[in-house]
Amino acid sequence: MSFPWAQQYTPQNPVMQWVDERLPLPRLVYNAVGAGYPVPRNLNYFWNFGVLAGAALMIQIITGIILAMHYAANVGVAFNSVEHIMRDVPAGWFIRYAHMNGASFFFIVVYIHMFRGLYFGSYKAPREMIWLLGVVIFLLMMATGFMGYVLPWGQMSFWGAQVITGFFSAIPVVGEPLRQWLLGGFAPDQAALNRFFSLHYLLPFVIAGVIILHIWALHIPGSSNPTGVHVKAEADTVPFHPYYTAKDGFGLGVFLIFFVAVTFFAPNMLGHPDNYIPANPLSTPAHIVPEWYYLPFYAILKAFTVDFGIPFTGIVIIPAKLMGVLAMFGSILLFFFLPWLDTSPVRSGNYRPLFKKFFWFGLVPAVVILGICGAMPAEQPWVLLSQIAAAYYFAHFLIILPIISRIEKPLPLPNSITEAVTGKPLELAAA
Amino acid sequence: MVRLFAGLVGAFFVMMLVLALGDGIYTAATTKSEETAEHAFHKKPKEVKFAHDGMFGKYDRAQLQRGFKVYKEVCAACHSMNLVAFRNFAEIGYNEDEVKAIAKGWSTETPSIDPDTGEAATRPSIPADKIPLVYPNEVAARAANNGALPPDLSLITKARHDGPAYVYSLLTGYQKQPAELKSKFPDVAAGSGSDPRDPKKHLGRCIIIPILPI
Repeated sequence: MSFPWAQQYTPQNPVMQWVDERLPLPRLVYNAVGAGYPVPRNLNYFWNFGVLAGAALMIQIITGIILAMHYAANVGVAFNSVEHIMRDVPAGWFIRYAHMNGASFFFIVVYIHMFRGLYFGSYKAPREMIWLLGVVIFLLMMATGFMGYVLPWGQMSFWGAQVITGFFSAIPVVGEPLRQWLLGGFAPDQAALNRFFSLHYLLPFVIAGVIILHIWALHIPGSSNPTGVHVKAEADTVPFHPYYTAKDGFGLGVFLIFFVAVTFFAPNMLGHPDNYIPANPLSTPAHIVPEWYYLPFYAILKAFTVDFGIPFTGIVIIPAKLMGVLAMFGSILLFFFLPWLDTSPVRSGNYRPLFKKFFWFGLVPAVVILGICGAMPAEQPWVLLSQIAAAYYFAHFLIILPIISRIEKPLPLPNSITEAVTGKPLELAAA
Repeated sequence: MVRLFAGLVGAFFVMMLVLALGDGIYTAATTKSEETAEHAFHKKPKEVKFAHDGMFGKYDRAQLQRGFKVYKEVCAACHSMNLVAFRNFAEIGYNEDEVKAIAKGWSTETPSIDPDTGEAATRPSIPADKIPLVYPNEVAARAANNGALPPDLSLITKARHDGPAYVYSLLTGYQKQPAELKSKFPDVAAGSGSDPRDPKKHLGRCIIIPILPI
């Protein structure tokens, strides 16, 4: 683990020495995020977002625990208990708005973190395990976010739960019984709300556990870097503390400025007004939309409008609804196979001219279009646009990426990180 | 093997999306889309500016108190505001005695029990009480309003897109039902009122006539 030139923990303070001999926790922290962890010297600001995601999770856990002290998971009072937090609990409005927008900011930083991984090839050997654990965290986050959105028991809570648990009913034969078993009833009701609350409280700690594995796996090969070139010598690295604690600290400050600006001045900007109407099983909202961070996947779900069957016979093998559900889950599960789909030995997109073109002019616009289409009603031209974008999304990962990995001629890589930064060969720069 | 399988799955998804795309274009080209009442008559809220707009905005207390007066004298006849307590009116500039007087003099009383018999009763409100409901339940509310349910107004500006402008447009935008609505969409016209932004809403049954200057 780590590089041979990593600094050793030598406590000066006798108390720390005493603790370290009996429980080497200070040593663990020192080696994980202290001076004992050598990090490539050329990381750009995209490398801040892992720490920011950790900070966002901490904000969610702290505000969430306080909210749970005042919230009541009962369909009769859940909506009013949230309003009680907003109106009667001291600073309750702040805690609740911070939690609400904290979820959005968690997804913003995680999406940027994933974008970093996709562009700079952080998922490639020897870092596949970090990526796989990251996909697990992302899936857990999506489940947690969805269940959290149900808790205020507003109109979008209820109908979102109705739609999302409805995915399971698309499974042939066992679908409908499975959905009823998951919900504990025929529709979202007390049983569903109670278990969603229980799981919404549990899953963040599961996420925290997987994050520990994610960081552990990171410390085996060490951090990647914008050139994608391996660390070769001590001159290629700087100790995490103070260099990246300072840089991450600055990044955290900028993140918090955006976070509090939205929390204080536009707290409901990212939410949906219908969730301030109490849940009513008898009145379906005109347009049911999930939280913004699910919109691209929701658009993929809605893009599949044709049954798969034998033409001219009317025999349906896979109905359109099931296709949509499979594709939506598939659009995330394909990330698990990414390290083996992209076989180019060059990690960084900066040195891959063909990859770069498909990334910027194909994948990025496709995801943005899917996000916009996801918020729109199922009408033309939004359905057409989402079909084109979804087709590109699947083609990009499953067809284009394996092909360009074979035919692309990458640009020459720098010999070392130090050479990329200073322009001088590593031996000269180190001397 | 992984890449072969992925390629096949990818090709299958792309094929289904291309088929769906073709189907969508064919449907759009061959069927005439029917205009809906929502599309034809939906209007955006009016442009409206408030003292509390923007980052440095401040609530205009006199304006808030005038708004409260309109609510108390007009809206409160049918619409509850059950998430707001009387003590909250201190926040729009009323002093302790005024809040007490507002609570005591409110048109509906707070539900209670008779201390001697234990039967359901009402008592005058105190500042700690929430503003009482106008109707004891939804059935009573609908029975008194020709089948329509007057919504609680506690969260009305948050529960509508562009909330404050929505409320302003609604209160100042009443007009006669356009003749076009009746000729083009007789079903909608029969069941709807005169809210210019949403012909499907049953606002015709709402009988607020006096529009006070806000």
